[in-house]
Amino acid sequence: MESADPMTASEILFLIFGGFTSLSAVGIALTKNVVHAALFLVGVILSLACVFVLLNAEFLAIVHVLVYAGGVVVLLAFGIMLTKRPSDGSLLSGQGMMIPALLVILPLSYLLHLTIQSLDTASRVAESSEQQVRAIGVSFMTQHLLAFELIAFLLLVVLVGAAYLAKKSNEA
Amino acid sequence: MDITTYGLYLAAILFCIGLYVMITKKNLIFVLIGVELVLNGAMLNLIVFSSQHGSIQGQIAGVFIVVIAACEAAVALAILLNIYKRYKSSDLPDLNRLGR
Repeated sequence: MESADPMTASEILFLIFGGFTSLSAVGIALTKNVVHAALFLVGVILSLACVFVLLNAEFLAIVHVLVYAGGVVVLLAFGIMLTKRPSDGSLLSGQGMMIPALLVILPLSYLLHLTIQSLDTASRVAESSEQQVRAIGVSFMTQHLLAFELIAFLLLVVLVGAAYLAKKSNEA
Repeated sequence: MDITTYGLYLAAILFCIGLYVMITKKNLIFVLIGVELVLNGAMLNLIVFSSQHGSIQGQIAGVFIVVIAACEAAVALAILLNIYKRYKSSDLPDLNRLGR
């Protein structure tokens, strides 16, 4: 890192929020308690939303917080509450296969490091972030219409499917 | 080092930690949390390149990823409830019976 070039404010903020995201993710990997892991996931989600704002994706940051922190984490909490009893110590999860996992992770991270180093990341287009929501909405209805309809259909199928899977009377 | 490189490294870190969690943890809910981390890493990658090129295409793909992650969580939790009803456990090594 060149010290002659002073870091801009957005870079410093990016390092702070990125560091918080990484620390929370490491916390998920290290903890054994499922509830702690869900709380660490909230930390990852909120600081990642701040990173999205720094990357000029304000709309996606808001959607991210709404859907993940409001939906996915609540679903995970329901899953924990419906399947775990803290009285018999079953909130803790076992761990295994550390060596094979490291054998997968370390070469993969080195490969990703080489890929990132070989990219041209310096060139950057200055964008205008106004009218972002409007641009995304127009793009949904014109260029990405098929994907939009498919995702709507997927949501319907998931709604019906999850209700069918979770209903009481299918112990045959 | 600029902000694009930082973002790509952060995405790589999230992806690798998510994969590590998916492999090592025995509880099904932990594996789901690992999947969410991997999806977040992929989404951050899209956002970083979208920001670098000044286009919103990456953000649109990111919205799709958010929706698919929510769908995946809902279906996986429904399956988790069924597994718990049948096996009285949500640890993956306990799921070793075909019949009942």
